[in-house]
Amino acid sequence: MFGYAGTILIVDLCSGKIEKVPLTENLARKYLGSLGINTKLLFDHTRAGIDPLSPENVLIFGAGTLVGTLMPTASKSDVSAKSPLTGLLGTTSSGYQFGCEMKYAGYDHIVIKGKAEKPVYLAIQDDLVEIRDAASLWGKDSWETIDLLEQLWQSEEIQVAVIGQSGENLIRYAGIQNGKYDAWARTGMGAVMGSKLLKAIAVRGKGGIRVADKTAFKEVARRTRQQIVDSPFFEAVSKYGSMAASGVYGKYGALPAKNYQTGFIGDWFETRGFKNIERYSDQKMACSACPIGCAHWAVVKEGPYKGLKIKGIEITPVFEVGAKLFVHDLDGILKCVEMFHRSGIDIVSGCGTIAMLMELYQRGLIGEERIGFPVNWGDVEAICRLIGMISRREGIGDILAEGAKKANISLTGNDDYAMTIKGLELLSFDPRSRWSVWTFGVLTSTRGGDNLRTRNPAENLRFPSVPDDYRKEPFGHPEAFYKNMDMPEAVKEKIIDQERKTTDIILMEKWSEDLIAVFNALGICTRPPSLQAQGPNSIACMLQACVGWKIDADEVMRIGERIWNLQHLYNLREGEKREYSLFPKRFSQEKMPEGPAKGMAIDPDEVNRMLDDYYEARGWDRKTGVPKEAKIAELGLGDEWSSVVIP
Amino acid sequence: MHKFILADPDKCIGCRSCSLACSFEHDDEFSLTLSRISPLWMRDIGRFIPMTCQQCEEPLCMEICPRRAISIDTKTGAKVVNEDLCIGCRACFLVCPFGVPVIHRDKGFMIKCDLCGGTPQCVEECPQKALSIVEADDAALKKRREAARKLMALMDKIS
Repeated sequence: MFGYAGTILIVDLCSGKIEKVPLTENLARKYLGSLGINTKLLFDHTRAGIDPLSPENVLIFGAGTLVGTLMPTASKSDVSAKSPLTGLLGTTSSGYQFGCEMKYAGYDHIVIKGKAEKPVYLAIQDDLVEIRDAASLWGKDSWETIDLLEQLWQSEEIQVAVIGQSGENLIRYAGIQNGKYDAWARTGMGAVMGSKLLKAIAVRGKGGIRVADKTAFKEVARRTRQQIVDSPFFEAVSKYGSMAASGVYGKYGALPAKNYQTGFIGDWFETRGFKNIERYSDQKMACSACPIGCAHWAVVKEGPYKGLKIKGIEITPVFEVGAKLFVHDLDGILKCVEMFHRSGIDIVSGCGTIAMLMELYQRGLIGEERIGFPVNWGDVEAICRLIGMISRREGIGDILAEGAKKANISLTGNDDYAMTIKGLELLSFDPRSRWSVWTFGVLTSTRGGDNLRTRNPAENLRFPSVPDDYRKEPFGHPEAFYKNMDMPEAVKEKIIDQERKTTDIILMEKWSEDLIAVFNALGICTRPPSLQAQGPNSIACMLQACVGWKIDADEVMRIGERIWNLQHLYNLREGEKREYSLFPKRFSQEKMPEGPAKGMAIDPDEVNRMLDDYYEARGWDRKTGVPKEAKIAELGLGDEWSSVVIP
Repeated sequence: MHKFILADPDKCIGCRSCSLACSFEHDDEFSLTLSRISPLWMRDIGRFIPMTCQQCEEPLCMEICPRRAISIDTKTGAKVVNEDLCIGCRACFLVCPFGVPVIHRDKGFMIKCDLCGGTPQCVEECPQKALSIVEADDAALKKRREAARKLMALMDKIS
């Protein structure tokens, strides 16, 4: 098959058996790749209700359909397993170069089953796949492990997926590092890898990817690149990366400051705004085939962390460490980011959990004697100590290693200060200050409190949108932008109200989720310059040229909807209840205390009614969220559905 | 007329579009192993350096080749390999100061940048315009002009 590497690699760490199974065209056409096929494999290779940290769980790496080619931004791979943090679907994507290397080695997917007897790592050199001893790597942090593997292989060209001590010690929100500076961070996939005693996967691939139509591919790739370059966000994101949006959140007062106690930080722009990047670096860094290069190489030039070199002045760590934990300066933020990367902790869940502890400490609900030292907001040294203790499960770190919700309950008997949805620590901004498709999407996301799978392709974060009308999001772009959007006219008529200049949040939610599911299956980037430049028609062109299918925009969106429903069915199978889709109480019970959104709070009844209508729009039961038979028949998910409704 | 590919490391973001365009053009597949150009990350200086054939004026590869398999493309001045003559002995690799010549993994002959006959695909696909194809005689002036621009910007900052 063109575009694909063509093989699923299945490694059983119990028996040591290594299998290579052909990736069939049926599977590809139905679930596309990466996130889609990963979820299908997870569904089929596990039974309901398993312990996520038992050998029964499977850990699946999947590279997108377009990954490894010249198609702009095609670099992303997805890791899936049952999440030890949420008990639901674990899924997390990452760019850079690992996915490409997997495909160059000949594998679209790598499925890891069972558990090794002693620490091992998986070595993949094209056809040669070996389970090797990792005694000398176990206990090392992720950066040390990568250095050791590069020495061992005498190559700087290998791509490495690796866990730090956090994964080894089964921290429920441990991530898997994708090289030193990127990660499959969310939903605790590092702990699953650690539970299998698998320290790393090192890949070197010398093969290549062929496409169906060379001339067409070149043309589509160039056109796509031009569309990305012409996107209204290209210039800002190319120059400042995701930090381009850092200022506006400060302006709206939508920051997650001090565990969401306030959204407003007076000196945010001066100390943590995007202009600060210029002090650290002028070097942009791109994932494979990306024309944007939103990441930045940073060098700390003075002060206590002088000499620290790291890729990653990104908006997420700056929000998480800078606002949630209230670290005042970028030097300190970068130091914490280094600690998170080395020990292999998801920065968002790590900060969410530490912020919960700091708020308990602030309120006198936990004392210094229990922790061992004061944990004041913004104290970089205390944060680094806590990261170390969590990754070793030492002292209070053992409790914090369970995640914000469980840790909060064991420390105070309630979860009042755990800012989680479906058990996953909430990412970034405060919904009281900015209500949008994005904000509602953190409730509907298949992995919990996270907006990266649900963002609106027509959103402009530069426009404020407080929750006065829960159903409508005001236009963030000129009308022409919506007219030109790659979206079938019949759908557009329902979603976009050109007269009132608003988008319908519920319908746009469904559209965005299905579309982004396709992005994550193809392995293309969901950041604004890429997300806004592409839609089902342009994606159909990509697939025609790359894989050679006769495929149209409708089929592209149906695949997206199928992938979304399959993820949802997996969650239902593992026991997800509707009541998990709730915002933390703080957002409804405490009004935003200051800033432009002062006095705002979320109305839980309004949100609940929206969920009803969202389920309805999805063809699910309004109350339970179980997909109706008609929808299941339309998507061809009968077997999966039966396993959920007839257990 | 002698041309070569001039790289500006200050503009390169390491996206590898050049590498992918190169192997696609020459071998109809996306493969870093078959690429005649590689942007390499130099952590110590924090820059990507795109490495490819400099199209030397006195090419050691050409001199040492026991089969006289390397010749000069009269249109571009590129040093090109005659696939039928090359035996894959790697003598060229041993003398090349830049590590340019590699042996094609399937076909057994040496591959290197041939400037795509005058329209190098790496240059065409570079999204940051970090690569350009220049005439050897003009290259120095082009570089001086860019250096002058930087100098001017610096002087502006100081004054």
